[in-house]
This record gives sequence, structure tokens and C-alpha cells, in this order.
Amino acid sequence: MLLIDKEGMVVNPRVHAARATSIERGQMKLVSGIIVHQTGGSTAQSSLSSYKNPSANGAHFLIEKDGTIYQTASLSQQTWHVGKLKARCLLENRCTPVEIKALKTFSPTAENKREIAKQAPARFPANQDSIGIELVGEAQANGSYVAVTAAQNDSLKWLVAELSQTLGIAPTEVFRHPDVSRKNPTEASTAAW
Amino acid sequence: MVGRWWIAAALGLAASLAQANDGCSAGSEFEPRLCPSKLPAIKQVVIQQNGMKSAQETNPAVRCDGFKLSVRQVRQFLARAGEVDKQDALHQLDWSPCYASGEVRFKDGRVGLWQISQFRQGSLRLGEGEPVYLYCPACRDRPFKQP
Ligand SMILES: [Zn+2]
Repeated sequence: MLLIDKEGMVVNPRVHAARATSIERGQMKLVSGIIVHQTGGSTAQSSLSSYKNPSANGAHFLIEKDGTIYQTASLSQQTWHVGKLKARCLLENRCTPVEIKALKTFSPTAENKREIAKQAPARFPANQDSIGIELVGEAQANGSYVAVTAAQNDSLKWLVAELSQTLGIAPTEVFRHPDVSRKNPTEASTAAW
Repeated sequence: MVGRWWIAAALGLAASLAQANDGCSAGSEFEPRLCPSKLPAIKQVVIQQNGMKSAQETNPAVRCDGFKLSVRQVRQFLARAGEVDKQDALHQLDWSPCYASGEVRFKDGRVGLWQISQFRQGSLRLGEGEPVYLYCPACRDRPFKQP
């Protein structure tokens, strides 16, 4: 179990506070899931310094290549780390005829709007109810993200287990970013938890 | 026609209200903050790859031969696109498996390598270092897919 203070910050020697209120986007009342990302940059420092920009977006945690965990946003605040949601029913083969008909017209914006109107777990976890974990990792010249390091996966495993236990998140509600949104399929593909 | 003019005027007003002093749009949960790209005038565009499918796309059913840009469309994209933050380009905008790429020569002598994807996102590499990330909501020609 994690100790979380009244500001939504984890109190634990493995988690370094690096809160950037600039990336917080309003109250998060409920946590339905966790989304795992890779940053696209090669150092934690480049993400931490970009978060200082008042219009920057980010996620709740950032894990450096050496496994160091930073908490970059309060757990009682949303961050905009997900983007437009894909239809969960399509990936789980349980769309209704009405949903199948609507999905025939390609429109990620309309698809996202229909998803957001649902409650998780009928949809994927969204900005409003998910914790984002960023793993530091750049895209290579060939377009694929670098492999997640063993130290990062150790830290990720610990963090996901602790957050899940503390906040009551089911193992089925932890996803890689490309599972829930249209993203480069190699993002976090080597992450393991 | 009158109706169309009215819509254009209303859109223009909304856009100017959302703009801060730096000329950037405010951005929202699903639309990135867009800033003027300040690219120089274009001299020449060369398309090297067209209708390409990303090596990262593992779904064999995905086809990209329908995404072929003309030189005119590439020029329009580079001229109309705004600059987005890298974080927003990678996390907020939709990734498309279909892309075209090539070279651009600007009138000031600089040469860049561009890549443009079907969901109206692109990047431009001018020399070493980070590319400029581009997004063109105004690019509505057929090969692009509307989000
Ligand atoms: Zn991501």
C-alpha cells in the first residue's frame, strides 16, 4: 500500500517529487486505470524541463532509464496524456449493431466522443480517470521506440502493483498507450509489469 | 454563399479569441496548441516516397496505397501547417501508419527533409537536432483523412 498525502503526492523513498502544476488539468475524482507511455526523448531532464512550460502536457509519473521514479503530477489531478480513445468494443469483439454501423464512418473525433460518454470499463481509461506513466525512451531513426531498460521495467512493475493495490485498479485496466489510442505501435511495446 | 461567408467569419472570430499574443492557439484536450511555423518561402518540393506504410504498423490489413500526395499538396501542407509541441505531436495527435516523404528547398537556401502522414501530421528536419513537428487542420484534400 502506498501512502498518498492530501496533495495527491506519493510519500515513499522510491518516488521523487517533481510536481509540475502546469501539466495538471483539473480534478480527477476517480481512477479507473493506468496508461503506460514512452516519452520520445532520451532523458528525464528533457521532459522535466518541458513540463515547466505553462502550456505543456505530461503524465503523472516519469521513469528515467536508470529506474528513478519521478512523480510529476498530483494523483488528484487529471493530465492530458491519452488523446482520442479508440472504441473498446471493437478490440474486444462486443460492439452492438448500432456501434458497428457508427464505426463504418472513419472519424476518430466522433469515435472518441461516443467512448467518453461511456463509463469505464465499457470504454478504455481516459484523461479524466487514468494515471499516466511515462518511461523515458526516444524513437530511433527507423521510427521504432528504443527498448525499455530492465531497471525501468523493475520500477514500472513495482509502481503499477502499488498503485493498483492502493487505488483498487484491476490488472485488466492497465494498458500501453497504442492499445487505447491511435499511436505508434512500438510505444511502450517492450514495457512489462 | 452568404451562409458560408458567415461561418467563415464566425470561425475567424473564434480562432482570434483563442489566440494568445504569440499567435498560438490555446489548444484543448483533443486539439493541440498550434503555433505559427515561421518557415521561409518554398522554392522546390521533391517527393521521394509516396503511399508508404510504416514499418511499425503490424496489421497486414492496413493499406496505404491510397495516400499519395501531389507536389502541390505537399507545398500547401508546409505552407499552411502550424508547429506543435513534440509531446502533443506524439501523445495527443493520432498516429497514422501511412506517410509520404521527401525534400524541400527554401528560398533562403536551406534544405529540409519532410514527412507527412495521412492524419495531417508531419515533421520537418532542418539539419541536425530535433525536427519541427507540424499539424495542418486546414489540409482537407482527399488523400488526407479527417479526424
Ligand atoms: Zn504515449
